[in-house]
Amino acid sequence: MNTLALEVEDLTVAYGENPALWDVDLKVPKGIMMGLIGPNGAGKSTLIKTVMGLIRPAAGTVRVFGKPHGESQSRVAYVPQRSSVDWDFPATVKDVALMGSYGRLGWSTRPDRKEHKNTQDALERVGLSDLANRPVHQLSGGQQQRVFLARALVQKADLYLLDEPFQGVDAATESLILDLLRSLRSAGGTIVVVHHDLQTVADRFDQAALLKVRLVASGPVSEVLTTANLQQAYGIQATSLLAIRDGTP
Amino acid sequence: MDNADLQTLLVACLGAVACALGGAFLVLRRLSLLADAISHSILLGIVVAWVLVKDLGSPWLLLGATLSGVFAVWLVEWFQKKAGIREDAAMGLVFPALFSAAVIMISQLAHSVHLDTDAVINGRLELAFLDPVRIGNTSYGPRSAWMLGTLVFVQLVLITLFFQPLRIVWFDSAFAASIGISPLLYQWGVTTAASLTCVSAFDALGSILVVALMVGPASSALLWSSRLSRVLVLAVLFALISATLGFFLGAWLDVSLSGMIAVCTGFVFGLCWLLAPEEGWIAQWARKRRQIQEFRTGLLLVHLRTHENSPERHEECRFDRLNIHLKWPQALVDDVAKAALERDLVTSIGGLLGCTPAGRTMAKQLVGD
Repeated sequence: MNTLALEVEDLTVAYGENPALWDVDLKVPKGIMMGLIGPNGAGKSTLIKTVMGLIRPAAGTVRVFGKPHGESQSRVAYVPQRSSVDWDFPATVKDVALMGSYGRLGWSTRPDRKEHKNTQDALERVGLSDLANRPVHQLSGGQQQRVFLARALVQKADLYLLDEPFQGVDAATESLILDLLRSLRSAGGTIVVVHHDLQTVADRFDQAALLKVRLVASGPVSEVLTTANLQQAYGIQATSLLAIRDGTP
Repeated sequence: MDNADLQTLLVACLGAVACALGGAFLVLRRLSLLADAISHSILLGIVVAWVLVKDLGSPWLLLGATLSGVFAVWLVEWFQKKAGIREDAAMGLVFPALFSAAVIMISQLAHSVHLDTDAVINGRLELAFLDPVRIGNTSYGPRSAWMLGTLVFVQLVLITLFFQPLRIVWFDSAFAASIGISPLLYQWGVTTAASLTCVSAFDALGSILVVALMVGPASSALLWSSRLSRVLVLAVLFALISATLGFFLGAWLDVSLSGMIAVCTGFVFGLCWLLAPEEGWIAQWARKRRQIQEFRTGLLLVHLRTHENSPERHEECRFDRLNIHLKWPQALVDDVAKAALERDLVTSIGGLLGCTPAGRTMAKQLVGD
């Protein structure tokens, strides 16, 4: 039986002649929460997008639940960065959440009562059921992130890939997202999160993968966030980052 | 109104709806200016196709024009992505170049032929009825009405069929791709439709009106609704209003119908901008006024509450001394105090103001006690 949710082998991705990822090998076991960390331009978002089939790799393979991406697409939910869409688009909170049902229904089937119920439940879980009919352009940053999360919940996936879900959200939303991700994990889901804040990695994730175009390290957080690894990924800044981590000024 | 007038109005309305539907999707992607780029670039396709087939009635002209519209969009994207030129600059580079190339080709190769640049810009709406579809000896209405009618029908069918995936791609193309919808397919589909719309409409309407109708009604509709389906319906409605209004005004004033309709799309947008329920100028002005009023009431309440149990309250809370303490003109004090009295937020006893329990609660909330 395959115990891996995601397996990336020899993955190289390039934008023009600039490699964004060099020969990355990464294994994500089922049922864990993994933080994908690394400095800006390390290829974190690129890795997720490649797994989702949005970017064609120059070399290497991606397997999701043991199958090539196309065959397991319906088992993966992708939550892009909040800033990647135009929130002035004419749509309500419910419209956006309901988009999560499209993968099951296809273009020819309209969402039925069951899907509307699913969507209502998902909005309930992210605390937006009162705002279901609100236009998305009236939402705060935290609420926007929660709509995205509701849409992912409607997808009922087994693997969740989230690109910086904690970026610029208030503390209440942050803890709501965290609780939600943990409950997805308890239900057997696997979660991979692009994350920026090194200080919270240990509290939030079972495993971490440290990227800097190449994979510096992956595995249990304590084994990944070592002085040597951080130095390699972040270079000169590492000393101050470590100071924060050790709690010494 | 005679038969020719009716036919002209029909062409104007069908053209308006066709443009509004195709244009709405450009406006929603913040690509309004692409309508401009496309409508100017198609001339090159027409001229090139004419040079090849030497027949103005040939369907190859239609195809050539549509392709050159799509080509213009592709070129804009290419400049943006491969050459790193900003989008607005890329458009500014592409369509004047293609349009001018077409004008030069007309003047050099086709000056004996009726392909005049003036008609391209202003359209020939008034003359549309002179070119009917004939089968035998019977004529079945203007050719452009049939063409535009077909286009409207096809657009409506496609939008209805693919409404869900279109909406997903248009809102979040990365998410769309992640669930197996091809954003490129829909983007180029819409671009082709927009190009075909420009081509079909510009002969009758002219390129200026085509751009006005692609951008105007959709922009007006966006002020009224936050649901995509309603935005599309409203865009069609505003397009029909503009076309009808422009037709009658133009006929009455005896000026260019295309020009008048274009003016009316602007006029309709102006009205919407004034009157729209939430985004409209009047609504925003009223909202702002309410907020200022509310803020001033709050200020008064906080002031009264701060001094309500203090010995100096006979000075600080006296109605005729508030203008000094709050540094407000007396007229403003009168206004705010009167409104607060009416809302039962303050009481007035012998010229001395004080908070009611409701007013006290509001003041507490404001200062966060």
